[in-house]
Amino acid sequence: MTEPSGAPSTPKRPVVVPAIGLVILTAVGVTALLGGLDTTPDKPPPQMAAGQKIDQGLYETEFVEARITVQRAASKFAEDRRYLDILFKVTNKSDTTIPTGMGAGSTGAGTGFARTLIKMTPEIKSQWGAQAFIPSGEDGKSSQLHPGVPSNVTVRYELDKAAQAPPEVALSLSKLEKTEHPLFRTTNWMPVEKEDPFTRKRTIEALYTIKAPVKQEGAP
Amino acid sequence: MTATDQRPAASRRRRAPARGGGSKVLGAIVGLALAAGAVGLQTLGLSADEMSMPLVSAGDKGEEVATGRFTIRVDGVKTAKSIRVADKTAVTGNVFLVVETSATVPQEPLKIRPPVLVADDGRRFDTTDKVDRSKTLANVWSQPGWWTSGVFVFDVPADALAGAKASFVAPTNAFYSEPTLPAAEVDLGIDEAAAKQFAAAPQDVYTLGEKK
Repeated sequence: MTEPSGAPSTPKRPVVVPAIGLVILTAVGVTALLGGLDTTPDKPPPQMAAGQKIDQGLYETEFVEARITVQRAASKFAEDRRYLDILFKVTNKSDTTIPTGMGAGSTGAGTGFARTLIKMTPEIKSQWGAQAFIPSGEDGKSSQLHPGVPSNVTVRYELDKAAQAPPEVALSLSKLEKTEHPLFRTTNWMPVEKEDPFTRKRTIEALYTIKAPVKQEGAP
Repeated sequence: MTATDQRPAASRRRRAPARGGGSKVLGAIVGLALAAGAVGLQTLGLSADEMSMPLVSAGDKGEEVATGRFTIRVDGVKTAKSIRVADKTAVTGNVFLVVETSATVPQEPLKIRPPVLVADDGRRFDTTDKVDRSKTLANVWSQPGWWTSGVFVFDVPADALAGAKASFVAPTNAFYSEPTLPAAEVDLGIDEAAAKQFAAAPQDVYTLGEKK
């Protein structure tokens, strides 16, 4: 036997749907206030120390040191030149020769290994960005990273005459990934990027940072 | 007329089910096999990277290796610790591999592009930039009718010497790109023993640009 429904008691008010609605609204509101699901603060890229091996996909890199180098003038009419040198030990992990490249510090632009160095603080402005090379012998240099051969790469920023040598530098390095061209299906090494969820702008992601004191001129 | 037409039709209709059962199964099997074969064949196709590689003519050291556009002969291979060009000396922590090369062309003059050294493990080394390119064969016009000689210099680790080949690709055109360039791949004839010898006892200095 079933109980008689409804008639004598007061009519039930539909509370369940508004309640669920309110809960969802609160959850969305709280999420939005905390910055949304997509924009929680990114984990800062890992800080690498000198001598630590950094996996950059295409390269295995080891930061050695940052120092000021002075090139004495060859004649009395020329002037001394001062450089900020960042020293790396780089192994090319692909199977072809790659140029050490130039344009370090200019995001995205640049070639070869140098373009994986995407940012340096303090910024040192120059027309073409810093040049990377492999010193060889007394005054020889090479700009080739041969496959599987560990090479000592110098990334060289020229300092202005008046500029103060920075006491410390912070570097951001990117990583390269083997990607396939969507149309031609050929493969290429491209920097790992991240996309801004709102503006859809893609920027190269800094995957490692290095902070190091700069050895001043004359220091051992 | 109608009677003679109907009789074979009727007999065919009668026979058909008896034959149909077996042939349907057989047909399905053959169809599946053909489809599987077609899918399987796709795996033999070249990848996009392989499609963009040059068309290779292969040969050995001392042989004339001809492509349609140029002919290459590797006359000799040497190793050195340093290379002297004019008053500059280039040094290396690895070893310099000097490939003495001669070239000629059947018709149109061209400058031979610096080759790539293909190691046995697949690594590809460009010619070194420590030696001025203008002092190598890359700076000399190869012409029809006679051979021009010169060298190409590689800066390679000793473990890349054994079984190495030099791959000469035809010069590219600045105005249009060709899908498959001709290339000559020359086995430098360095076996394990020769590689050890080359790595252990390189020449002290190899002097470039000396007229012989």
